[in-house]
Amino acid sequence: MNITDTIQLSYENLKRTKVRSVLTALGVIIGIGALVSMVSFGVGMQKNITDMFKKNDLFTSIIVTPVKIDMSGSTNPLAGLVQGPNLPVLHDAAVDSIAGITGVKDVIPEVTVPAVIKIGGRTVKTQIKGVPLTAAGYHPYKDISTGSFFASDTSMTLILSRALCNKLRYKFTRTDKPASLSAADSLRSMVLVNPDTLINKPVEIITSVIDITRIRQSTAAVFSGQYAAPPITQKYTRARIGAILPESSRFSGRYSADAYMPISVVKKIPSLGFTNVWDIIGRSGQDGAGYGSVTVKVDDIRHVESVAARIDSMGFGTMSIINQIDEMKRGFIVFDTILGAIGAVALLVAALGIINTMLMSILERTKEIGIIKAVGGSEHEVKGIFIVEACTIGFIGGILGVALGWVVTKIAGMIMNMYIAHEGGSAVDMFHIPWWLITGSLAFSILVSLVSGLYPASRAARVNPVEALRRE
Amino acid sequence: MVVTADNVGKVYGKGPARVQALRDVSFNIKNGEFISFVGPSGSGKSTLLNLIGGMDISTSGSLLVAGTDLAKASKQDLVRHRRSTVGMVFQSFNLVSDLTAVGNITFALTFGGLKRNLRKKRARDLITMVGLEQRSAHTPAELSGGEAQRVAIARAMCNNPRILLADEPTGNLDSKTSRAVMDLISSLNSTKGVTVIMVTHDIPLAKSVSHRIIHLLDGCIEKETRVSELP
Repeated sequence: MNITDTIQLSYENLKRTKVRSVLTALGVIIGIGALVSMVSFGVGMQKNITDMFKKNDLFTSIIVTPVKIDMSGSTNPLAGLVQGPNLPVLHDAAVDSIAGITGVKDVIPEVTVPAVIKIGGRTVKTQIKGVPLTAAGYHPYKDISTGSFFASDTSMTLILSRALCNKLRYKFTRTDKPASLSAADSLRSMVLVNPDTLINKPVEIITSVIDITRIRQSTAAVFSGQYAAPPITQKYTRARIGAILPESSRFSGRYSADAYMPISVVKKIPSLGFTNVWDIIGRSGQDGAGYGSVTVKVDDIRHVESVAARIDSMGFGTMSIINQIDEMKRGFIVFDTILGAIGAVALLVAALGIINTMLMSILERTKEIGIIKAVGGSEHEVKGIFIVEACTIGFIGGILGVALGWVVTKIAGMIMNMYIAHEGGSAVDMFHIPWWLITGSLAFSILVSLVSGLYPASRAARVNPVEALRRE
Repeated sequence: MVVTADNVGKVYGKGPARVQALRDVSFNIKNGEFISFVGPSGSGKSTLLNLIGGMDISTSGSLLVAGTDLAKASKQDLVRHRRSTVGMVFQSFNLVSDLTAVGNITFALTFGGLKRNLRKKRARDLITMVGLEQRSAHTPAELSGGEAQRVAIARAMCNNPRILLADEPTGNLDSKTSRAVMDLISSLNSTKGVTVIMVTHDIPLAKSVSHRIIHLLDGCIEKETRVSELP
């Protein structure tokens, strides 16, 4: 008897007990369906995060700071700060040196100014980030669809994020979907606007500076016991809205801002000279010259480590997502394993169903097994028939289980996206079913069925033909 | 000799449940002989037939069938023996109830090693041989007892065995049908030279078809009667 005969006999046996075979396969279908949908959720999460990192060029970005920060897991990250009188300065000459390293595509200095933006009587506190013209080719600037990127490095235009527009209480109308103001929107005094109408609107930028004259006056006033105004004065800069960014991810990095201007313009805006604690750490011991940090864009992910090593050797601190990638991968494996284990429990129940069905089948077919042995069938052949029957249940159950998993993920994804759309977010693919998950689930289903069929098959093979044929 | 039994014994169970089914049974069967084992219930007839058929193994003595000592045969040897040396017919027919008459024969041929494309033709030839070509598409439930037993005989002959073993082949049949079935078995013996070993408690029937009758009682050979000479 060859394998084709075994498969045909097994198929005919399963066909004879249609209802029981279908019910047993149903257990496998549900088990594999649960496994596929669970794991596809984990894979989907991983894919979404990876895609966002890729979209934001995070895999090929290195953040360079004048100080080295110990990120190796120390409980006190500040303990790793390398301080000293010879701290290198991230000035333009250093930026040029970094730009000369093989594999470096661009070096984007970070210049940020805290400011209040005033548009048509609406004000919001934010940070204005200086952006070089070379950034036009990177996310999110390359995806601008409302307005346009800076025409020159002296353009007095601002690029605003959607989040900032939201803080300014603008709710954008969409061409594909009519928008309306909810009760909560009305309470916040939101207004509906077409984003295109905001382009070229005048903007007033209000920044604060330290007035040295007033500091002197204040010091004198303290000694004379007189009142003096605080040593901070406000400066006003006029600009226009140049563009509005598309909806962006939340993974825009720690240097994210809500408003952007050409870097040479931002450098000229009167300001305090520091924006955050990183700036203070980065410039400690310096005279205020140089950048708080620069972002280095590398041409290929494979060059990130070598470029970072070169920058490190120049005395600067470097940070890149690549250092954390192994940790992330381990995290995803654990997450996927937990999800897979939950799905596997359902498959375990299905395996017990297969064992039960096969044992029942032996009881019913004892006489038939006796006949097989009487006409010259071997124990090996009897075993083969039962194993192939179990595997057939696993194979059919696996295929339909993958299909069920696909349907479940589609429905769950649709429901989740409906909820996200209701909350004002944009649709995402929560689930992802790659080919390895389809083939792996199918193979796992057959494997589980095979293992489940081994014991019943061995019992069938051991049936005594004389006793079997005596049965009525 | 196609069968040589030398002090064959068979014991079932252990301790108080021990049953001596056969005790020092010795006999010879020539090629082409029709021999019947007769005796009351529990005399060891069916046990002896199962040992010759390779369905069971003796616990003592030697049993040489077509050159193979079944007492010392491996599992694989016994499978080969059942597949090609012997064909078995049972009192209760033992057909697969879901399969048709021709399907039962094809089913048996599946284990015989015959190529797939030759099986259907072989099954049809066998069903014609037993005169059931008109009933080939019927299931055992749709066949009479005599017809079912003829299908069982056709199945037993599917691998051209040297020996046909028949365990009470007419036990479930009326006298007229029994006669037809016995005629078929006798014709296989006389025309094809198949050695027939039959177990029955019907001594007149055995006398009418056999060359020799061996009487068993309590697992021992009581006597041997020669009915007719081999042609």
